Amino acid sequence: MSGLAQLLASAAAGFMPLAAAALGGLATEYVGVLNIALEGLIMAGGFAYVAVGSAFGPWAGVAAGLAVPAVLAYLQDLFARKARADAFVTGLAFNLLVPGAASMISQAMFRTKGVVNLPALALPRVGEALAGAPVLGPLLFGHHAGFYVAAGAVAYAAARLGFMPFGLRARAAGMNPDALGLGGLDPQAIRSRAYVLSGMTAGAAGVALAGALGAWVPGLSAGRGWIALVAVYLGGKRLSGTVAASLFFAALLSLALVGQAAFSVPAELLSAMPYLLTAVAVIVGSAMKGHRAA
Amino acid sequence: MSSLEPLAPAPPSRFVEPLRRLALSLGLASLLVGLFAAVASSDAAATLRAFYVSPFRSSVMMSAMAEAAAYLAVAALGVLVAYRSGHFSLGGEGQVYAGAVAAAFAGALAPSGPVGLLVALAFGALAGAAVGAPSALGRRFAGADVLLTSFLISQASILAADWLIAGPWRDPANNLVAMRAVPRASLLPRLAPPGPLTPAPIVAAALCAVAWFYFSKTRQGKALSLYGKNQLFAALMGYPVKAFSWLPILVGGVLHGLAGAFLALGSNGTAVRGISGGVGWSAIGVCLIAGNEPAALPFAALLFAWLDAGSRQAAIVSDLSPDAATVIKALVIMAATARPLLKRPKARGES
Amino acid sequence: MELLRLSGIVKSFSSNAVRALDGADFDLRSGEVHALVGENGAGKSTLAKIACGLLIPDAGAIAVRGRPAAFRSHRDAERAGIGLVPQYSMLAPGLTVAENLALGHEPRRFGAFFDRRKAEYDAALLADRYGFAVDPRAGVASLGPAERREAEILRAMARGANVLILDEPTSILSEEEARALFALIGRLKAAGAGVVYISHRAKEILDLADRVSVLRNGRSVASVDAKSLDECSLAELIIPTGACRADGRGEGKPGRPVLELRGARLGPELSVDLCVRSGEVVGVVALAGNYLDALEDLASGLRPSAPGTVLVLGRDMAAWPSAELRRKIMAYLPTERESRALSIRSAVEDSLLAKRLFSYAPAAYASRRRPRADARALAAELGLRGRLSGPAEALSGGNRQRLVLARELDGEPPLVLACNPAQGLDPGGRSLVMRRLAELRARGSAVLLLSQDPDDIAELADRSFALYRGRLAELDPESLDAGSLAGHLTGALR
Repeated sequence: MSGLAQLLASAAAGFMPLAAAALGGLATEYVGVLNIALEGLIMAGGFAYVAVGSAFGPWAGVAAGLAVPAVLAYLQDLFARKARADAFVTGLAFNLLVPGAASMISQAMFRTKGVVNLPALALPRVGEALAGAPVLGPLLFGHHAGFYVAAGAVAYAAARLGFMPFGLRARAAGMNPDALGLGGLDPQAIRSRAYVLSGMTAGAAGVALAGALGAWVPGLSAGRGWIALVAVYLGGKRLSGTVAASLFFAALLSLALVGQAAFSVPAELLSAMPYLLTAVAVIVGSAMKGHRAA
Repeated sequence: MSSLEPLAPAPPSRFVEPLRRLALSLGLASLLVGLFAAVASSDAAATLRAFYVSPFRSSVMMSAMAEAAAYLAVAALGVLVAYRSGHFSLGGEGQVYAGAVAAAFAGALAPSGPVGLLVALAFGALAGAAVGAPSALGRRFAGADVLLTSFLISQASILAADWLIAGPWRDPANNLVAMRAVPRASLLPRLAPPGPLTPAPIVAAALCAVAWFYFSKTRQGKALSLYGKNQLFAALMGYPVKAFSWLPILVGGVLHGLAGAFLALGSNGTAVRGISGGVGWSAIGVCLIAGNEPAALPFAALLFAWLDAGSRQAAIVSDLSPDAATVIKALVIMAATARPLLKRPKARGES
Repeated sequence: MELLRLSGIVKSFSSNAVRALDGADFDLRSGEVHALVGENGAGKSTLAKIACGLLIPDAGAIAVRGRPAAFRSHRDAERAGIGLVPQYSMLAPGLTVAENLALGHEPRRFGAFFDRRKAEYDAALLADRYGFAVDPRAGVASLGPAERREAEILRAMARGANVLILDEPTSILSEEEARALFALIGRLKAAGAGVVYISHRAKEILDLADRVSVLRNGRSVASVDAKSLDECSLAELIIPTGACRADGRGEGKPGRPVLELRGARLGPELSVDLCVRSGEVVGVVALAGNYLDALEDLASGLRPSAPGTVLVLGRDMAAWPSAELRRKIMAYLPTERESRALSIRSAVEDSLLAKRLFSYAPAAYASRRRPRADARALAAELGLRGRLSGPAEALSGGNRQRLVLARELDGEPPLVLACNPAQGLDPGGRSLVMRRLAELRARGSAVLLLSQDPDDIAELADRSFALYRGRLAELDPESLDAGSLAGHLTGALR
């Protein structure tokens, strides 16, 4: 593939998991309790895919990769509500818990804490014939199946949040839960559903990442869960904004990868660039908002 | 509502609450240790011994735990100062790492001896502050959200530190990916050689005492706590809110950097790649278990250090995964933030 | 016909030892307006919420049209024909009116997708039916207070209610808007509906209600025919110990200017000039949405005044060191107490002593004896009831305001900025505030009184202004009656 085509394909491949996680984050932001645990949920999805897939085949793995994080997110919310725990702290603890638990289970199942390589789990590529088409080709086609799973999750989440009553109810839950009570709705139930959605989409992201490699790699999410949160924030907590911000980050990360190959800048410094740039963007954005208000 | 209190002393709740939380955490940790010993390891007895006997058997082992607890406690104090000022900083990991790198760098270059030690510690503290500075200044001048900026800068600085240790500052003579060794005389002095005990635990305890005094006994500490709870209110009470908006973040950075310096100048002897090893995140957990109370920090840190020590030992004598400690810590943190339904008085409904 | 009956309702909130309702009764007949009155904390809102299913009583019975009913949620009550217009907004501010009305019963397209157009159509239909002009597509946050009231009422009526519970409905309405509301109530009465009218405003109650029931400490203590009451006897019913009104105009001689606003920017192309001198009370009255809150922010220094200036004691406010200004010069009683005047989760003691904090010597503060004693004294002075070491959020609204008053009015601050100071207070508390402010004036403080309640101004102000759409108009105290005041406030008399 040409350089540009490669760039487009890699940007698309980077965008989909990020957008999936970010939309899940957006759902929880709507209900007013941002899910900090996206990072852990992505990893849970990826690991569940590999663990279940190794025993029952890749599509069972996909199902597990979607269901397990959804259940975990549900439990996380349940705990925060019933035990009246701080949702922020619970999320942080969850992010510590998942890699540790995955490592323990991996040890038990695969006898290793490290990379679990199962080529059988590398999902097949779809539509490679069309990947030759200009621009749209590498963007939309020729990705492995996990990418399309994540794409499905993105489409579903976008529909639910933007075009179905759920999005309305979730936003109401975050703004004024009393408004829901008068509509006969239970804000807690809506919050729970938002969390389940975030688990499912983060899981889809994990499936996409693990499915691309056909392996479980500790630290699979590589900070994407956190970047997804930043995308929600930068996107002004709106649907279109979040998608745009995810696109922005995916492009940055792609460029970083390409730049690493092209120039001989040390890999770590190039990887640090997106973080630095985003921090600058946040600070500058904040300063501008302040000026506008005055 | 009840009528005014008579001349009664302060209700004990201020001490009861952290104590309860510590006790709960210890209890839960023990329960989980037992559970994992039975379920996740092949030799339950050996695992239990690894946790409950080995770490206390020799002064060397106990010193090692005290040392580990010291690093955690100092970093957790950095978390505490920021959190109580209302700033949710997630930058600890990067700040600790930067502190270790800077301390190793300065320690290797400075004249060896106590001067070198002090220079190294100072550099470590400053490096931590430097990593925290963008968030602090961003908050002060642009009102930028500390949660995001601290995390982002921290991630960038971890990557930068990784590069420095593995690249231009790497010691080629060392098999490990590490920086040049700091001369023996510039390391933290051993209090009881050949054991690993250094002044670090004493310094940590002293810092916690200072913090305790500051927050509960001084007027500025009270003002800072009120600022942390409601910034607008603090501004309207004429408190120095401009200073409060950024200095505590910087202080947090200094403390984390200091913790990193201790790490490098202790038994490691220099900065090794990955030396910070999750100390930043664990420190958040320690702070939470201690309920944001400086007096409880050393104990919470010891709890975590004990879990780590036991887990390491168990990995050797039985086949319990060393990640068990991480899992237990995460569960203990979650339990520590749960609030029992009885305690909170609900506001009376209006009219 | 009897529409609704509540008997022996008991309700307590989880960890509170005191019951919010302790055997309250209430009934409503078709075609009547039944007013529910009582002090703050008497349980009126709680009873209203139980009546419409938002809360479940611990004990007691509810009957709708003679048949027993048990509401497990508001939906059940809605189906039984009970609607609520709450005191504090229950609309989601970021959504439109139509979206709010549709919440929970959203019309669908293809079964799953939200049919926005139908929702807007339904909302417009409903608004027409009741003669409301509110635009269903408008975002709730952009509505003025009267339109927001209309939207709340629409929401309550959307499911065909024939019992309408109004909780403090006119607190933010102008006289004209209130009259429109009364007209609506008249229509509902004529159509056979019943209205529960919860209010503090004696005059409205006497104009509107057929019956008046009084709640005290969670119990029903009286239920009388409104025709038999007048303002005095109504007040007596609510609080048996008569509250005396503060001494009206001041005898103090106004001295030097303490607070001056010169061309201070109130809004786009709006600036304000105002001067408050020592020993006088300057009152500004306005309805919500006329920049009264902007004026409050200007006077308190929370909003920049450029290109104009705000001077305190002759010096630019921005040039004052904030510690001295806030703690020694200016007493500020904000409208929004929870966010500005309290640290809601800290101890009551902390909020009480917040201004004195740095006046203690370090050693004295560390030992805590003096501060604690001071806190007790302050609390006692204003009749603050509650545990000082407990969190401020455990205090009732009235007690929270007492806390603020105790702290702010301590000593003799040269400048007092009092914004809606009696809001949320029962008549006893209100007269306490008015008396304290009058005392401060007598001792030479300059008082700027901003309020949405004309009674505050009438009672206390030496000079008064009406604020309409960001412009001040001075009122002549001689010709100040309800009619001309209403005219100023609604812009009719300009």
